Amino acid sequence: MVKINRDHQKRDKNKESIDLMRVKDEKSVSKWTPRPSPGNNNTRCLVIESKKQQQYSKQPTKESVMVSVLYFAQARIAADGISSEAITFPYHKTNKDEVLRIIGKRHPHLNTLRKIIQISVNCKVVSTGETITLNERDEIALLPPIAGG
Amino acid sequence: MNNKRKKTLSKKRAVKKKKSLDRDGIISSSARNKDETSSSYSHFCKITSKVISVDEALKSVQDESCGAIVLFIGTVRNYNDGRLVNKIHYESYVAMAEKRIQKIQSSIKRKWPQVRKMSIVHRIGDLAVGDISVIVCTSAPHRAEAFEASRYAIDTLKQSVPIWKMETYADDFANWINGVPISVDNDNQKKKVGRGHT
Repeated sequence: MVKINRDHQKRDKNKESIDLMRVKDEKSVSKWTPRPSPGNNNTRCLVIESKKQQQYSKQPTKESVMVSVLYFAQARIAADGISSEAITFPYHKTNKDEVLRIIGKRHPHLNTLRKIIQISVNCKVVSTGETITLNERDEIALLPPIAGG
Repeated sequence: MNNKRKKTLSKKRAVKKKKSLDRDGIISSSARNKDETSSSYSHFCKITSKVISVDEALKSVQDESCGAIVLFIGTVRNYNDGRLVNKIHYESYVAMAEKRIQKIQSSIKRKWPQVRKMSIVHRIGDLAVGDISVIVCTSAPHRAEAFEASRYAIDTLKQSVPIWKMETYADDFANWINGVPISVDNDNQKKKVGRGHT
């Protein structure tokens, strides 16, 4: 559960002091996590981070993601005949309406179809009101009403 | 002692079940050996731009244990909405379409466990009047399941598989057919239903 990272920052043998921290529960972890203060850089200390904190620090702070967008049937005609393209989306929770609004800015003709078009992310249809998070290299498809058979 | 009794009881039950199924003619000779009726189900699907071969589709579902094959063929009609149609252009999101068809086929296994083999092939591209656009081929020991499963397959295909068609009329005017909104994935629907009940 608790991982220990050794922070070797500018070891000074004369002043070397070790802070050993043995922490059993996570509550005390958050209290006791030592951070190297500017004046105490020479201290070699054991930095103990809780799992949550580690996950948080590992995630790169993304602001946008690049996804490929596919256009079919009427949507393809409205998107000036383009069948697929890469579009940058903001990296946060979003929904069908917002995705269509962003794509609609690039292809204004699509706005007239917005009410009848459905979208899918990685072959899964997004229902109205559903919250989605887009990831890098996801595949969005614009699906007008279908008429197979 | 108790365990032994339980074992013999369950064995007896299994034999009874098998016999009753046998009387109904549901278990085939091959399935008898395997002791499971649904294990031999196989299905095939394809979205293709090539001409669909009826013979191939038939051959793909033939099975010695089946007394019925239902073959549905969808063809291009020469009129729609009171207008003469010259040709139809079909377009598909192939990756998703094949996934959706496979979903239909696995739901058929659940609904009609007797169905043995099932093929669904849909053509895309430019088709002339009379050309085959879709084939649904189902084999089962008896005709009832074969008919029902085929009907379900083509009906669900029209509701859930991402395929579009553009008709070109006699006056060269072309129009995308106003279809139905694609159905949301079953997984989500199930969750919603579950929430509603609880």
